[in-house]
Amino acid sequence: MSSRAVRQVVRGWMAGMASPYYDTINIEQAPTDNIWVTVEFNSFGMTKESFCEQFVEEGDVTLTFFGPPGVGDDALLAQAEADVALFYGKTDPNKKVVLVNRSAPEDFVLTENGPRFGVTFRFGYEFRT
Amino acid sequence: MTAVATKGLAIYLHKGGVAATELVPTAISKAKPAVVTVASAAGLTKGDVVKLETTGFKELDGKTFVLGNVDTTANTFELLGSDIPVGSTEVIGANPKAHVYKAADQIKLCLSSIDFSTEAGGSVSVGTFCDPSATIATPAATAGTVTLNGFIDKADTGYAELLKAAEDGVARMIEIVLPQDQGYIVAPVTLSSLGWQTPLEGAIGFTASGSLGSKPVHLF
Repeated sequence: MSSRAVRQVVRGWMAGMASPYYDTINIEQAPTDNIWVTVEFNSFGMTKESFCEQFVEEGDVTLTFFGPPGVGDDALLAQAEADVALFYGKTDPNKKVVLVNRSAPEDFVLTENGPRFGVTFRFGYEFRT
Repeated sequence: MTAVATKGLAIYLHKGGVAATELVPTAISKAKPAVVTVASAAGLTKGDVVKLETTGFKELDGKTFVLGNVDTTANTFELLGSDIPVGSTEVIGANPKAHVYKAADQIKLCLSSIDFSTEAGGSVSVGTFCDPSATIATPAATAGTVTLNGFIDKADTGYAELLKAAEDGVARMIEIVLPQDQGYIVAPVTLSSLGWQTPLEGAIGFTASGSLGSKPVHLF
């Protein structure tokens, strides 16, 4: 469970991407876009950084891109990687949330509620209070 | 014994270039803590640091204390951590001095750690054929070293003061206010270097190090 500040900053970053963003956390969504993206948040915990009660929360943000089934992986990966490059370059104007690393893509196929092909990217973050 | 958590601990560094306020004690009580009388205690506050010289009391001279209760009507202040036996025959000297480092002239440091390493005295062999293992004690060459760790922030006045301190090499008083009314740790320090750590991930850190002007004292 990442902090609200992390979620707000990251959701703001999603606005400028080529892939339309759908918030799927506790919200029912039924996107009809060919390619779309959603975000999950995961925190590893918070540690104290100074005697001035400054803390750092570490965690990761997972971007999952969904594309149509049966048409291969290239179109989805091309758009996803372009969006990922854009996302990793985002900065928080308040300098509190920083993306510090990113993973390689991992693909998967969902069969529930109709087949879907997806690819995920994880981004490590640090949030300083 | 109950351990005390560090939550609430605060570290302060006296600003460089701000001279200590010089006061002349006119009377010093033989008590624990000793109470110093001056011409005017106006402007003094609990938590100020004071170094005493030529007071005539060996328990005070050359030592650093923290001000306890300040009475601006009676113009007195307590020296936390001091203890002059009631039966002491010492009398106040002809030219006593109190150098007060006011809390208002301190800057808070947001450190991740502070380490004092005090140096113990050694010994020198003075062996002879009669006593090959004879040694004599030698005093420590320096009081020791101090190391401060934290993270850089150019907007932080504490970090700016540490940069200045490492550059100018001027001695400054450092005061740690311990939580849960556990008193103070005080020491004069002279920083000589400040370096940075840039991990591949994580915050940009710094380490400042220097020497102690005297051994740190825990006053309460």
